[in-house]
Amino acid sequence: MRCFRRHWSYSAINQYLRCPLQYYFERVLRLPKPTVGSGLVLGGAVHEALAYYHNKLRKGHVANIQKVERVFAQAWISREADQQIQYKRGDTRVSQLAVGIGLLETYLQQPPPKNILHVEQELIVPLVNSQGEFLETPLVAVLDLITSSDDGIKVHELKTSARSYGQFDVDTSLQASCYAHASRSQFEVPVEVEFAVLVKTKTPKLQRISTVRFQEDSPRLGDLVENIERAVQLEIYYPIESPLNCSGCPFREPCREWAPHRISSAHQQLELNGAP
Amino acid sequence: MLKVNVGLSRKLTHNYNSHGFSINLEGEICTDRNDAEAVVDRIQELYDLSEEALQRQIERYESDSAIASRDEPPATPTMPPAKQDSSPTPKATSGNGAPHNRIAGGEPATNKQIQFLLTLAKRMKLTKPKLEKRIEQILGQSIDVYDLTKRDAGIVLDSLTDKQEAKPNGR
Repeated sequence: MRCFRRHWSYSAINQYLRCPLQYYFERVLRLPKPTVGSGLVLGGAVHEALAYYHNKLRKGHVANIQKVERVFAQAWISREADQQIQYKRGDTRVSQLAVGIGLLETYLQQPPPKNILHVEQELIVPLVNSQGEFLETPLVAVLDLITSSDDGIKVHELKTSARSYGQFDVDTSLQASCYAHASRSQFEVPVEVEFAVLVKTKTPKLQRISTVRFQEDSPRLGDLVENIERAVQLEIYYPIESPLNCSGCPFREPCREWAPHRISSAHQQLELNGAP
Repeated sequence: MLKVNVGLSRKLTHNYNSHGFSINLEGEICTDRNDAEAVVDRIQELYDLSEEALQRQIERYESDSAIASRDEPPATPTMPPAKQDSSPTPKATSGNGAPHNRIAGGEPATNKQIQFLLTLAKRMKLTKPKLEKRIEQILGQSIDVYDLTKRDAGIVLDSLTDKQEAKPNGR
């Protein structure tokens, strides 16, 4: 995250909700992560390549697929140099690079987005609770792509996923709530959030699925974050153990050694580190 | 009626770490128990269903991990926002470089100061974009409220408070 000030982001909020102890290890103690899952690397590299593509379009230029693929490969190599990539069984570096190329080709085969306003736009906005009070810590959102529509703007969120999304997934998506709140607060126009899901099936496909949030939804988000903030201040951290959370978690060892009484002293680092 | 229990488990091992996934399904077979092929088909269906659910769960984990990575720092700095007069354009934020230079000239305003500024602005029926327009009038340059320095925030605060205090007397 590029914002220098203490802030909330969708990933921080979501991480606390998913496993408060993982949040603690990553954002309070800032423990190093020895490995990174290949899914994360793939998602990040695809994002970077598509940001290049969208930026070209925004400037009225044409981006050829070879160049986009090169950006993807460079992004992969740079991530590879930073951290050890952990592949799931059956996956290899070559197979994952091929998946990435396939996803990019699928995306570029579709008609390019029109009326591009911003690419990878960072917004920093206040959160408001249901009492109408501003929270001290703002929300930062980095939006992949913003286009103008007839009656407002459309925020496009790019995803790489093993499965297609359902309407319920996007209608209840915390990420959509965060992004809709951020863009409505900043631009003061109606906002539609579209998930462009690149599905990693044998033959990759692109699924576009939209959702909307209204003004009335923002205080609910504010209340949620306010409560998480309170929990963090009270040093409430505990593990939520599930196959989904624990397999691939980089903090399995400290999690095993976790003892709540040790948190108090370490928690003093919270302010120093600027978490969340 | 026959009752069937189907269980599948999968263990993924990497770097001496193992991750276990398991599923157990219980189903009933309503077909004639003498029709062995139909019974086997039904069991096969339950296995396929378990396999599919297990696979989805594993893939969902991978997918969720990818979602969570979204807000990680990008490898390269992003481009500045599009300059289109008619389109909604946010003030340059710290991601775009300019405010860093600006803040380099002074200590950034604290979140508490900005919270106070926003609350005051709200009393004056100013939203964040409207407050930023007011800030532009006061400071003579377009700036995101979160990119204010402590000094600038003080100037804006003084100006807004003066205006608010002047209102009841300004008859």
